[in-house]
Amino acid sequence: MRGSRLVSSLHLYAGMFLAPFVTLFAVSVFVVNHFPVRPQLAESRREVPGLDLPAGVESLEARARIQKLRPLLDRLNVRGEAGFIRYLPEEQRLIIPVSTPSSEAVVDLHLRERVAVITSRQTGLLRASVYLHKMPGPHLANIKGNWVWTRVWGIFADAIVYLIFLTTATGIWLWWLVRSERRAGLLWLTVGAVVFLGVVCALSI
Amino acid sequence: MRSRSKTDAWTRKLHYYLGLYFLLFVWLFSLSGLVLNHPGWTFAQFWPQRRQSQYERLVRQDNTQTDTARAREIMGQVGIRGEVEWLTEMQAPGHLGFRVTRPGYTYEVDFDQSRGIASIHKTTVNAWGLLSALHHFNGVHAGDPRNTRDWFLTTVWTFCMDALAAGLIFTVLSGVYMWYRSGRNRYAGLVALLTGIIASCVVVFGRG
Repeated sequence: MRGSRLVSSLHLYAGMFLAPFVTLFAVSVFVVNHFPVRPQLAESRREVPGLDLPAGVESLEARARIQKLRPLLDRLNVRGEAGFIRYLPEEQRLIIPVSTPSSEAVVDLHLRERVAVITSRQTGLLRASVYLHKMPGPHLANIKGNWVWTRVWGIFADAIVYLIFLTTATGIWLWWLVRSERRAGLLWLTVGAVVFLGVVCALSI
Repeated sequence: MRSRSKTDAWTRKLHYYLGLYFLLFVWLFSLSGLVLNHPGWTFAQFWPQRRQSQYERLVRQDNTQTDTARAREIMGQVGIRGEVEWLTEMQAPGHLGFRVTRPGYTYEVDFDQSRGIASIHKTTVNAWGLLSALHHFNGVHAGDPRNTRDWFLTTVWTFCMDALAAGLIFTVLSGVYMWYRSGRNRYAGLVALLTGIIASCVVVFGRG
């Protein structure tokens, strides 16, 4: 009885904590599947001349390059996760994409002229849900997490998965305790498993 | 009063039933999400272990069709199923090049129209690769009108994802409703819910 109460409390509290995150992921699924975000025009553009650029930044490897450029980005008031930085050697330019869940910026750094051209835009709540859904993700693993909030979100994303496992396991336990629901629950579980296995097998075999 | 208790009973039943129905889907997407977020986990790396093969097949031609219909015809003749993807780098004069994907498999098809031969490069990944592909297999290519969802089973899988998302939203709402109606653990439950709401708002809006 005490064990059941503990399981019930774990299910309740983990579920309540998860509620907004699960909703966020669920909403982003509809956006990703049916309203994919297309590249959009920048909303604002500004130029910052007379920059004090770190020496030899263009020759550094991806992660080291971002770390070296981070203080400059802070001075330019551009905050967020830096993506893959493109170096155009003939034009002596570095193109730095920087994103947060609700904004995107591109810093076009002209090394010779010591000028930064910054274009940016706000992306909105739906785009934020998709951004968080895909972060940190499998790509560009060597540079991902160069912004503290990406690392924080990475921890949250992991915790959400572990809490989902906990919530589903405790949910199964709590359902099993209700004798009157066992039969119907087993039927739903079986139907779900058959649909799941049927579709996965049809897709992959 | 009676209708409210009926609503409570059905909310509880549906919370159980939908949770059980979607259990394997939830576990699949949770586990694959975890693995996708940790590309450094060596046990789950699938790309270095991929299997590749190359072969050619003779294909009967029919020049009156559209590219997509021709691709489907070629796929039918060489026994390939999946979502067709058109890539700029695979296009060459006198050739029809396209990629076909389905979870676990990728086929790059180069059909030489003058010889009537399709060269097929097949890549197969292990169970971790399959898991990863299932997580994001929806046939969507943002901003690319030529590449649209074109395989029946992609539509079925996308529907499963949508149904899971809707089911999760219902499960969340029904859970909150049951907590509120039960009257037990009011404050502790509220603290847990508010902690989640504040934490999610912080990561969405509240960065430096």
